[in-house]
Amino acid sequence: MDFLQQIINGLMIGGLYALVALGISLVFGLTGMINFAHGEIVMLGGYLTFSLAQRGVPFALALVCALLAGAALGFLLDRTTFRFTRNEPMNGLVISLGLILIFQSLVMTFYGADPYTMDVLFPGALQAWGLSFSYQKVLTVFATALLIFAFGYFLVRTRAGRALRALAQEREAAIYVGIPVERYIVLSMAIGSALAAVAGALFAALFSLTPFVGTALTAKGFIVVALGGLGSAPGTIVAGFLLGVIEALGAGYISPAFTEAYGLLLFLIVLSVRPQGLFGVSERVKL
Amino acid sequence: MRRSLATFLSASAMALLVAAPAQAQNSIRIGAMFSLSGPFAQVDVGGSQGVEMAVDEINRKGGIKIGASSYKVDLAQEDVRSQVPDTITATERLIRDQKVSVIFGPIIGLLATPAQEVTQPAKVIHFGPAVQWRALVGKPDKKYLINSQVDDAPRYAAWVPALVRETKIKTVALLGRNDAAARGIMTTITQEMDKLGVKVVYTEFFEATTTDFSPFLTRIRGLKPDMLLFGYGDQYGVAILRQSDELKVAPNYASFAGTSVDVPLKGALGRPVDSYVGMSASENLVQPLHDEVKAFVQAYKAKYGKDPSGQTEWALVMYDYVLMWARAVELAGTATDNDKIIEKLRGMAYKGVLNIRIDERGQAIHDFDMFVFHGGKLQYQHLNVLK
Repeated sequence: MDFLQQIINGLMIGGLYALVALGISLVFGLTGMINFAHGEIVMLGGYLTFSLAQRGVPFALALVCALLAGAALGFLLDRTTFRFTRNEPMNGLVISLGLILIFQSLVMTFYGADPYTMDVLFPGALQAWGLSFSYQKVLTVFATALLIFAFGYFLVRTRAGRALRALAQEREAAIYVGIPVERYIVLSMAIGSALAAVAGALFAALFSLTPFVGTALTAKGFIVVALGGLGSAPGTIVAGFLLGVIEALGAGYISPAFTEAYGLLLFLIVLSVRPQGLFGVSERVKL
Repeated sequence: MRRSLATFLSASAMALLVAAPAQAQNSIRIGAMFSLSGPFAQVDVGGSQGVEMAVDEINRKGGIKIGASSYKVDLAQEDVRSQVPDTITATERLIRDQKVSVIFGPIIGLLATPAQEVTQPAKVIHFGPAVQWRALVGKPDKKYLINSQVDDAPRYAAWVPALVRETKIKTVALLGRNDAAARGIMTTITQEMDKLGVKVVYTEFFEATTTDFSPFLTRIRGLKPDMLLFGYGDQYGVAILRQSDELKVAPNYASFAGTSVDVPLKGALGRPVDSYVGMSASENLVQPLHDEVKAFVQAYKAKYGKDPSGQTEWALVMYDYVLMWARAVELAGTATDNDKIIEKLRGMAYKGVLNIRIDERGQAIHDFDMFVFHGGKLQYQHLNVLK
């Protein structure tokens, strides 16, 4: 039963990894830019939710605030910095590294480096078949699944989503049919950042927050994106859950000292067999 | 007119020049630096309050007596804002500008450790309960350092048997933060458990950045220990206890030094934990067990207009150590010769609200309380480590 419990633990954190990675995948798919500061938006979303919840704002409302604030931040970052790096993705990468320091220092100034934990929102856990299902975690997983589903629906069923996919798959053809590239890149930044911020809000509901949680989540996000296959949304989701499970099993049965390494090991094994990732298509990027 | 104004100003200046040294001669300036803002304020504010209360007490009783003279204590305070650079600046300011010869605080080792790098070369006596200082006291270049947190060996030699007696555990799992302090504490606890025949079935360390403890806790749950003993820090305590409660890891929980009663009382689960054992930094202020502590709590309430909490225990620690320093000054017969004062402090025993003894290295030991939750009800027991 403990083995199953470890898998459940892994699935719970894996959903958050998937959410973070979807944002990275979306931005990378459209701009080709690696935004290392993506995890810091997760962290900021977490602190915003924590601060609002501490002031008595209901968690659901705090979650919506984080989502909107994340979208606004993504929009702002693109308009003020990343749009100047469109033709030089390396510059965007360097800027994102600088943003990590800025955001971390900002949070350190107000909160310091110590971990913060939110008050219990939904106390207790359902005990069944020797397994434990924390109400808070179950609701968080439900919210994560809902967001992933909504994101999938948006990509597949809406005009904007189809335009984003078209741009990611065949940029020049999309331009020829009149899709405004710049507008959709801004949209991808806003949506990607909103997903990151809301992932941070859900993370804060489950775990302790520090100014440095974003760095680790970014690394995991990139592992998940590559593992799932660049540009593949289903691959990203599956890889997110897989990474969560592998980490939980490794930490539980081998040693927690190497938790970060288990994901990398999985990454190396999968990419040595399938360089395009689990769901990736060779030499073709699609969303 | 111009001449009379000049005469007046000259006379005033002369008066100030005469008055200033006179004031300095009749008072002793001491320094206190704690985090009054930022995340460490939760712990540090209590320490600052304790120093303030001790200074009030000394001055109310007429000051420190050196020979035939009495000296009031003048307190110079700094807010180190939970930041290392602010702590270093504050230390330098207290020594250079305020010219203090003794400094109290901060409590958090992350700040206190760099601060002592400034105080020790300057020959300033420095009191603090930083766990990291245990490895420093007694070194030749740390002559003026006094660690006011109880040493591990006597503390756990008293606490572990009391914990086992209360909970009747046969097996225990240990989970601690991966640093030298927690590793030292867990080694001591393991030795004490061995002596009592309690089997340590799991020992693991988590990194400071750990937020998800469920892989450790699920593993521990599989070993079915009678108790999960963890540490340290309230933030980690809340996360570990909450996730343990969800997974039903063990029937009993305990935390070693550095996790306050606020965690099992309401911080982790929003309700008291059923079975939990912990330790106070000093005598507890929540359910005082002695008249001296009750009097301290009354004085605290009178001064600050609120009840003390679990974290306020540091107020009592710093209060007593300020009074102990004052006694050492009286015994040394000087407020300025730190060599003589530190000579008196080392090896000194002091009965304040707490029973305190400082050994020849500068490491202190004092009484403390153990807290126990049975069926969610909180009780304290006094542990006398000086007997």
